[in-house]
Formats: sequence, structure tokens, C-alpha cells
Amino acid sequence: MKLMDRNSDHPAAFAADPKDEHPHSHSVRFYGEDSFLVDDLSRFVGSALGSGESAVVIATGAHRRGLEERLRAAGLDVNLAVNQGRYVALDAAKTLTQFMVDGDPDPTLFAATIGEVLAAASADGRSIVAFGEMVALLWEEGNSAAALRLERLWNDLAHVYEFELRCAYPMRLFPNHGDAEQLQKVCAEHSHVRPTESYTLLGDPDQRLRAIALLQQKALALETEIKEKNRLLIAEREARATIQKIALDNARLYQAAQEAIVHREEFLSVAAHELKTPITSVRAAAQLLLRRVPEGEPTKPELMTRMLSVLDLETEKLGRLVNQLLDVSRVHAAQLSLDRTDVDVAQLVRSTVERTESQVTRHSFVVQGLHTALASVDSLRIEQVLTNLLDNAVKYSPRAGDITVDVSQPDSQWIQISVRDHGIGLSPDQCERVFERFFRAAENDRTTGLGLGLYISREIAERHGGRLWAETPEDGGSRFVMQLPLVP
Amino acid sequence: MVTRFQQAYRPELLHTEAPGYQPAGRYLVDESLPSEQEGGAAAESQRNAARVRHASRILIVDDDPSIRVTLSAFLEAEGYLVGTAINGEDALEHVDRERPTVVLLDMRMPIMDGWIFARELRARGVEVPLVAMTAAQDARRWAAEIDAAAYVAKPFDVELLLSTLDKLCNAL
Repeated sequence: MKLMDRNSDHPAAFAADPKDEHPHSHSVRFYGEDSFLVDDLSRFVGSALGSGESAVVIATGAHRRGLEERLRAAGLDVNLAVNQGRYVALDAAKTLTQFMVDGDPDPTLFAATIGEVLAAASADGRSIVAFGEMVALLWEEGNSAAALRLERLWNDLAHVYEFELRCAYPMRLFPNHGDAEQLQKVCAEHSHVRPTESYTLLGDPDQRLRAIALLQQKALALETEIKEKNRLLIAEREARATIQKIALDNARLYQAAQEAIVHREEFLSVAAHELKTPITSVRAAAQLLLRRVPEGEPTKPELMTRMLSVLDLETEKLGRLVNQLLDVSRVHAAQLSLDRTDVDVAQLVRSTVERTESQVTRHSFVVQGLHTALASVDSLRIEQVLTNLLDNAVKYSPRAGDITVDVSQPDSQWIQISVRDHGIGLSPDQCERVFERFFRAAENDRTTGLGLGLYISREIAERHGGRLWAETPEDGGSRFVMQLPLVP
Repeated sequence: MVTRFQQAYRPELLHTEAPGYQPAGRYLVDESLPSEQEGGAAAESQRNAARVRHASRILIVDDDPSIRVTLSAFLEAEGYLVGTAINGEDALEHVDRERPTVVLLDMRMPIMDGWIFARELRARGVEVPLVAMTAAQDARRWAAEIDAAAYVAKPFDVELLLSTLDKLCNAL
């Protein structure tokens, strides 16, 4: 083994490199195999010891043993050098613990620890070569920032002591494309960079140039490969996003379908309940009469009239419920048609209020505003809306109270009818929802109805070119407003 | 604008419910009472049934006026004492005033529903059998929820209602 040219990987090619003559040279060696590092290290240390200089080696146990083996094999008396204080070998990990504080090299402790070693080795004015791989240990731990700071502390120390320093990093610490930047940072801290054996072991310049060309091709191929991989990654991510979106859409559709089914079942159950109530009265009234009449007993005319009134009222109610159901399917099929005539809407309002008032005992109605307001509307349909609004006002004012109906003409184009009650009122959120199909004021709404009245009413108002909405007056209750155009 | 509906409908008839209990047989001569001369076991049992009805007060609680009118007319004609209430709150006042023998209870009502009424009633320590009366599909479950003595699902046969009430009143 040739030990005399410590700075050259290949004496013939690099002896003339001026940087190698730099007194404070700080070089870095990258390597693949440990055996190559140890060979290289034995040249670096061996030539120094052989020419009477000192060597400080701060390395792993394996590297120190390998080095000493090779030095002895080359005929050097390692023990003598140790005794003369010219060969100082320290464990890298143990030395680190002497100046690392909270994961960072402490500048003062470092200068003291390493300075003492260098001072001893340079006794009698001997030149020193130093080898260290503490930086590699830090890097391997994932503490690259500390490694770079430690490199800088070595550089600072070169201002105080004269020594030639070499570091070493295994190339496996930089395996990824993204590690190039880190590798460059390491290189920036050194005056010389020595590549791994794949390059260094090549003999002549021609072979090295060929190797460089090959590396350039490899680099290009890698670039291409990375680009392709990135393209595939993006495509895959997009595909996954699309699949997720489709899955989400499917889930939404499924949920909507499920909700529609639940809605329909709820509606059927409500409809059945609503139809059964009048049927109960009809049946009870009919059975009462049946039990009395055939026996020819003197049934009081008053009772007869009462029962017949119940039959009349409840069958009328049944008819209305059936009509509501038909209206809903008409609205759904866009077949709700209007039969317009010139109608005095103000009069229509008054007569509808009178009729509703005659059916209730605990609520009182106030009609105010215009006494006449002509418009072209379907009077039966508008009466249906008004009846619905008035019935609701009664139904949702279980504790009675005034119901105010106002007819006005806010401008030359509209007739406005409002129904104001002082009942349970609406939350702001319910103002729109009450117009939804099958809406009922709450889950525990104990009042009756199909939840279709307002849905149909709004449809009728809109078919007229008008509007119907709900408001929540500040002092409670609710206000429903219908506007109809004077001219359709 | 007068509609056919207005002419036929006489709402005042629905609002003539008496505030409290009416004596039985207000409208009809109770023909279920056989004369003393007929005698016999059947007649005796009929007379007994009639006595029970005359001494039993049924409170009908329903927000639907037609149901209140028809059922009270029917039960009165059958010899029962009858009272009516339009919701649970109203019914509690009735119960305080005059203890009914049985409460015929609609479940879904505004202001105070059947569930709350049943709870309030028991909180007051009133022991009176409840007959749940509902058009809901889960009538049986609702009846169980308020621990009702019986239930009738609307629309029901009045004979069934009558036999249910007779049974409960006889047992008391």
C-alpha cells in the first residue's frame, strides 16, 4: 500500500492540485464501502505518521480497528506513535457526548475538548492531520443541522490550531433526489470534496471522463424517471379524487333516495291519521243513529240534527283532505290550472273571514283596510289560500287571541292581503320551511294536518303571478302575506 | 258569497257541549232498563249493567269537536255520565273538579298531549283507568307508553268502545 501521498486518490492525476497544498485544508470524503474508507484513511493517517507528523482520529470503533490493522500491515509501529503522543484515536460517539448540549454542539465545550487534544498532538511543533466522522453520526441520527454546525466549529478551530482535517460521510446518508441540496450544504463547508470509490478507483483520466458521461446519462435518466413518477402520482391523485367525488355523489343520491322514502312513509302515516279522524266521527254518528232509528224510538230531533251535522261536516272535511292530496299531485304534475274572473278580492277576504269566524268560538277576527280591490283571479283558489291562512292562524294560536286581516294596495300593481296572529309563531328558520311539502311545525307537533296547506297555497299564489311569504313580528305570533298582481 | 257548505253547516251545534257532567238519559228514555215485572236473571244482569253505567263518569278528551259531540251523545244515550275536555290541560281541570271513572284519551292534542296528561295525572296521585284513543298506527305502543288500561284504534266500532268501557267500569 502506498502511504506517501495522503491527499491524492490518484497520485499521477491530482498531485498538482493547488488546493491540496492549502495549510488549513478541510476535505470531505464520501464513500460507499467501509473498506474503501478505511483504505483511504490509512493512506491519510499513514503518510502523516510515516513522515513524523501527528494524527488525531475521531472515528467509530470498527473504523479505528480497521485503520490500525492496515497501519501495522504497512509496517508502522502504532504503539510507538501512541506512546510518542503522535497517534491519538478517540471514539466518535463518546467524544460527541463531551460537547453536545440539547442536541446541539456547544462552541465553548467543543473548542475546549478538541483544542486540548490538538494542543497535545502538536507538541514540539509537529504538524497534525485530523480525521473525524462525528458529523456523520449526527447526520445518521437525523440531526443534519447539528452536523453542519459542527462542520463550522471545525472551520473556526482552524483559525486557532494548524491542522489538516478530513471528514467522511457514507453516501447512503443521501439516498434520495431531494438530498442533493443537503449534500451541497455539506460540500460548501469543505475546501475539497472527494467522491466515492465508484469514481475514485478509476485509474486514468479517460476512464474518469467516460464515467462522468455515464453519470450524466444516469442523472438525466433519473430526472426523466422522477418526472414520469410525479406525472403518474398526480394522475393517480386526480383519479382518486374523482373516485372519491363519485363515491360522495353516490352517497348523497342514496341518502336523498332514503330520505324520500322516509318522507313518503311519514306522509302516508300522517295522511292515514288525518283521514281516520273524520271517519271515526262519521262512523260513531252513523252507528248512534242506526242503533236508535230502526227501533222506532222517539229520538229527539235535536240529537238527529246534531249527528247529521257531524256527518255533513266530517264528510266535507274528508272531501277537503282528498282535494288537498289531488292538488299536490296536480302541482307535482304542473297541472294546477286557474279559472280567472274579475273578483273583488277585498270582499272575498271579508266573506272568508266571516265563515271562518262562524266556526270558532275562542278567536276573534279584525278585518281592516280596503273595502274593494278588483283583480282577475281564480276566486275558489284564492278562497282556498285565505281559508288555509285563517285556519292556520287559529290552529297555531291554541290560547286564542286576536287575528288581524289586512287588505291593502302597496302600489299600483299589487293587492296585498296579510293575516297576523298572536300564536306560537315561527322561528326565522321555519319562515321558509313551512312552505315545504309535508312540513309540520315540529317532530312533536301535536296539531293535525297533512302539512300540505301552505305548500299548495304558495303554489296557487305563484300561479297567479303573485307571492306568499311568512314573517315573524317582533312582538310574537306570525304574519303571512300574499301579494297578487292587479293585472295578470 | 254563501257556499253550500255554509248553509248545511251549523257549527253552533258543535258548541253546545255541556261544561260538566250531564245526567244520563238526557236525550233518550233508557230502554235498556227492563221493567220490574219481567224479572229473570238476564233482566237482573241488564239492570245491573244499567246501574253501573248510571254511576260511571266517562271523561272524553279530544281536540276534535266532532269526536267529542258524537261520543258524548252516544255514551249518554247508553246511560253513562259524560264529560268532555279539549286537551290535556282542560282535562286536568275536569279531573280536579269531578273524579271520572274512566278517561277516554286522544293522544295528539295541542297545548297538552295525552302523554303529558297521563304523567301529570299520576304525579297528582289520581288513580283512574285511561283508555287511549288514537288514529296512529302504533296505538298499542302509545297505550303501553302511558300505561293505559285499554285502547281503541280510530276509527273504531262504537260497540267495541262500549264493551271496553263496560268492562272497566264493572271491574271497579
